[in-house]
Amino acid sequence: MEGFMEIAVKDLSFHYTESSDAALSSLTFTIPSGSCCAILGPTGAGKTTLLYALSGALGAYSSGLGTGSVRIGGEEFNPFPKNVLFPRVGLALQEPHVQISGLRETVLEEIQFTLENIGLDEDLVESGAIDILKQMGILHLAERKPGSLSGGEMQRVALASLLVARPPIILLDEPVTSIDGPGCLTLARTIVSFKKKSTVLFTDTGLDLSLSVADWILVLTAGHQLFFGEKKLFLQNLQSFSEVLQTHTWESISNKLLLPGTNRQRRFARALGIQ
Amino acid sequence: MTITLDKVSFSYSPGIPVLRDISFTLREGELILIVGRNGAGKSTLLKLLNGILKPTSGEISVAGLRTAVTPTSELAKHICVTFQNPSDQIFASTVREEIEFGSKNIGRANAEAIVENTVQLFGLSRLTNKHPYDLLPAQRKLLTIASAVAMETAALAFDEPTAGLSKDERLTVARAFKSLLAKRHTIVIVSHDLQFFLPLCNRVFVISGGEVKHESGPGEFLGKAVVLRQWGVKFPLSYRLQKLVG
Repeated sequence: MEGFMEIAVKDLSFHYTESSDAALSSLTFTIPSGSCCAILGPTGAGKTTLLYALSGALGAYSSGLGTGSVRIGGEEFNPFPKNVLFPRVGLALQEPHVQISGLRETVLEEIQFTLENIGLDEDLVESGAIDILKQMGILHLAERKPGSLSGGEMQRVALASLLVARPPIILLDEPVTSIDGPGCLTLARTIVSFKKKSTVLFTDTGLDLSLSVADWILVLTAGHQLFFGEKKLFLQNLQSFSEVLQTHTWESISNKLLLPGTNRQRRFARALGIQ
Repeated sequence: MTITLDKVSFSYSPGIPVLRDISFTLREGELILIVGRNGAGKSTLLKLLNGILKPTSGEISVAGLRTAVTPTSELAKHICVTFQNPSDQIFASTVREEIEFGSKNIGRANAEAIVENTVQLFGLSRLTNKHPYDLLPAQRKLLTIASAVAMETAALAFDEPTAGLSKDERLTVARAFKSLLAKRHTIVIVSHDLQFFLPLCNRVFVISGGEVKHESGPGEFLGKAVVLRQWGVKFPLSYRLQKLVG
């Protein structure tokens, strides 16, 4: 099982059309099995394209030109998978209303729909769906119509409908854009609980979720890999990312956490991997 | 121009109130931030402001017009509401037409000049001839904000306007909002992005269980982290850490 959930990307490039600029340009990184990586970068950096490439959606639905290779769980793809790899690889889309099937009457049935599709035994379907709703803190939405949910509720249901399948590789495209504070904390805890059993990659426009749960950080800009490394190294070099990310708030925090401080400050610094 | 809510309640289904007995007045030139848990009724409140939804009881008045009896086309001249999901409101076939539509539709005399200024302000010059659906989601979001700004209504309301935007786009939005406030427009924001909006806003309202549980200026709001937690308000990690390290 060693390396079952590892993602190794080698010299991966992609153009949507022959004449367009590279959406991905010579990306090379390896995310070890069971760890979590945040993908950061400005709009148009290639964050979503990369997730689509790894999920198989890009290979299945785009006629663009790719080179390089991707190895997922020991299987090599050139340049990336040609078919959607669900349920081995699960992708949560940036716009949750696209993810919701619209075929089921209630949120609970919507979540069960995922498990029915992967052929889970009937008696396990309901308990599996209820478990993930509990874990995501949205059991109170179980009887609601998916179409009647608010934006933030729908985002949480869309994520639950993916996570319920417990894919070994989980790809989340901007999972917290509409979610409230407590919901973000619950999602952070859920991601942490999925680590070890799954490898998690997510894109993020802020830094809060990334610095809370990610072990690795990948920074992209205009399709190029500006940085890939452990979170600690990223935090030590925050200043070099201020051009492309909003790092200034975190620069002052991490600098102060590096100084001798109270026990509580030291605990935070350790949790963030600064010390 | 003021917006007044007087004991406003609203239910989608009879007997299940989403908003209860909400009263407040929004003054000219201020930015109001509305926060609360997912499903608290924040987006519903915005839909009541421009008359898409009518109060089940109570009264809303926008620029002296009662929303319950004023056609939405008339209200649109005074207040523009931008939804959370850009796809819900984009329908023109180019970026320029999308920005022009609202402004021309409500009969702005100098629509051409307003549109040109807005295109510049939002840095959309390179994209004006593109189809909105060929834009990246964040660019599409920026387009919906630009289209609202180009209407130059006295009041503007935005549902999660910074969701999914990266650094440069956030700076653009901040610049646009500051320019609107300088021109005495009233802005209503529903957002979880406290980091972005607390420095910009005049007052914060916390909605929970369909009621306004807290109303204060941003300074007082920041000092009440522990009380606010019960209503689903959680300050960003960076805010909490900043307080910890001083």
